[in-house]
Amino acid sequence: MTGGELAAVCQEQGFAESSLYILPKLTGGEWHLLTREGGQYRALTRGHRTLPLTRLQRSFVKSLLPDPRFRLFFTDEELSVLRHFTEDVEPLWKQEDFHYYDRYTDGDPFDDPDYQTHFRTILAALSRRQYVNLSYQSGKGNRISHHYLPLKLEYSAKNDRFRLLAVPEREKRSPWIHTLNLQGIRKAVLLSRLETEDFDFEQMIRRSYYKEPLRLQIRNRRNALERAMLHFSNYEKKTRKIDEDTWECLIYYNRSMETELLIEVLSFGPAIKVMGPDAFIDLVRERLDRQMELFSRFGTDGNVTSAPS
Amino acid sequence: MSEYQELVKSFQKSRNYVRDFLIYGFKSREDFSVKSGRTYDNERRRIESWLSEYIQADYGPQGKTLSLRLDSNLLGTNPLFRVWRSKSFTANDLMLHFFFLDLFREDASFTADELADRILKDYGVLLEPQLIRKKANEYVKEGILTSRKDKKRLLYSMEPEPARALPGVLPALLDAVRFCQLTMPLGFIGSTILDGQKAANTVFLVKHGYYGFTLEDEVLFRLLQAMHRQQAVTVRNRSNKTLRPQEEIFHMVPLKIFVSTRTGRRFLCGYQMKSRRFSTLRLDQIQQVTAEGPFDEYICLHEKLERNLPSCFGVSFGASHEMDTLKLTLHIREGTEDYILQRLRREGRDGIITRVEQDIWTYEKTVFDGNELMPWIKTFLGRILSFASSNAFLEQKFYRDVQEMARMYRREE
Repeated sequence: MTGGELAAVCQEQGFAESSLYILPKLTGGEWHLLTREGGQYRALTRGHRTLPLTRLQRSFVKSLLPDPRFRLFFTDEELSVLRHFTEDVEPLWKQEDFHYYDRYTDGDPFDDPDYQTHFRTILAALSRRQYVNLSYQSGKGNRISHHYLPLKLEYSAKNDRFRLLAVPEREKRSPWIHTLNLQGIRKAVLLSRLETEDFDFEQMIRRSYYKEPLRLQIRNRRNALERAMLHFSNYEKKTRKIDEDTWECLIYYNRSMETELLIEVLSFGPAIKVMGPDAFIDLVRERLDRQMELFSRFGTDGNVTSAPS
Repeated sequence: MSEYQELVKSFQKSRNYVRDFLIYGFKSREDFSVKSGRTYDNERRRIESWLSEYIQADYGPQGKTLSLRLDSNLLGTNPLFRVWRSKSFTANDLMLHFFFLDLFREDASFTADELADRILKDYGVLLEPQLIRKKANEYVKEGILTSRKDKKRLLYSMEPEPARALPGVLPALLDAVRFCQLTMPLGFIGSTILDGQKAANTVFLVKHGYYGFTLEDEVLFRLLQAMHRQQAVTVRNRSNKTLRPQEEIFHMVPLKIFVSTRTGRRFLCGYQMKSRRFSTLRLDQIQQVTAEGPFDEYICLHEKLERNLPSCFGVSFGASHEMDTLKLTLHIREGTEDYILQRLRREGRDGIITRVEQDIWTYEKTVFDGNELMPWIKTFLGRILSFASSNAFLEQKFYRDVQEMARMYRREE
């Protein structure tokens, strides 16, 4: 390799400033790993063996063995190979060490044999970029059957569910990604067709984001700023300080996230105010109007002194 | 004053800075007043280097602010795992690593003296056998090398690589780890399995994933170790409740890790020696964990905690001995709004759900700290007929909040 090529590897594999530290040591001989012949550098070592899994890595695998989501990937025989492979290490954690107190209780049936079969069929299709024929029952009870190209499997920690993100074969050119709950899949059959065209998934998702981000104004009371910053840290966001007590937070989102975001914003009560877009403000208003209407219709008009006991 | 280094001996010092860039993203140099400005400059430069692709710099009236822009819905791995690759090493550490990988290629076995000879002969580097033995023993402890006695000689050899150790199972294991590195505790360790096999994740995404969790993984690791050994711990905690962060020391028996999938927080739940009560501390605020000796009553405390969990809606065991009962009456159009009932069932943590009459339902729950239900109850706005509680303060707060929200969003005439 030339010095330039070494620098390119550093740039690609290391941190932004790594080459400043690594290159002089490699080429200057402090790290005696290269020899120079003409203008080229050559490794002193002849090749490298792949590292075995360390005890820590095997402990990680052992911790996963009782997890039904991990077991989705394996046959019983494969699981017994893994049990044997990890028998001399301790797990890093046990299932009972954790208490997921706000996880939904109607997660996917990971132990159901049909679910496991569908999961593995879709995983195989994803790895090979293969089309699959899916029979699907939606949450509303509608049954559909289409040829899909699976793009990603999305797991929601909150819902404890897998969702398949896919494009229907006949709408391949459409920018819309379909989301199917894995739980709703009734039948999954691999088709012989493979997809060769590249899909820029990130671009497809980014294109689905509204042009105008959700604009929140946060007043720092009841520690709302920190709560909001943590709560929304799983969204792409941007925050700036307006004055001593007020911050503005922009959150980038798409239509599929809208209801969930609305609920999250409502949970903060008056500590967060939606400043835009107008369509989102209308959603909040609609809920509040309906609420005030219910209070007045049923005699609980929200007057603090007349609250029911 | 020490020179700036890109790599660090311990990540602890940088941890709070990375977290602040990720969580807040609006703090300027002046807002980081805990340490000197020079410390801030070094940490900022380091983090900019580690996470260059995700750093965004903005300039405003408060000066330059840095933020980390990560969209967890889109990424195949957690970019913050990179911070764990920042550990410094010596030249000998590095050279021996590559020499070992080369020398043990052919399933050979060597003593430390033989390794020293081969390293001198093959690479022209003179290293003391003692130093090589020390490194080899470290690798034995880590499970990379194995050692065996042959008469008086201690022979080192390398453990088989994954493809040979797990014939036929490795592809499925890599698929599983692709998923687990994003979703399971201590996921960084999983990501190193993928790195070792040059396997990237292009299949799985995670929704509601909090990448900041990995910054607490060293704390989590120590707590889990203490839990498995049934030890008490001393915890140095930094609370952000006031503008100036304050540090406190707690003596606790760690019992469980509470995880929120919705608020970006994880907690240590334990028995606090001083107050003799169960309490929780946020993992991101714990700065240091020191294990003490084994705690005799560990199992008894654990059982007691399990009995208490059904009355704990979130992470609070309440400030007083009185329990809070909350009752929510909802208007749910049966047939068309059954998803609201579904929400009550799956999110209500075993609260009692009763049909009062057509379209009118109640949800009732008694908990240690009713305050913890308030954010959730507000998510039903638009359907609440009434809210009542044995705790008058909560009731008043609810109605006051709703009225204030109605005022906030009132249309201008």
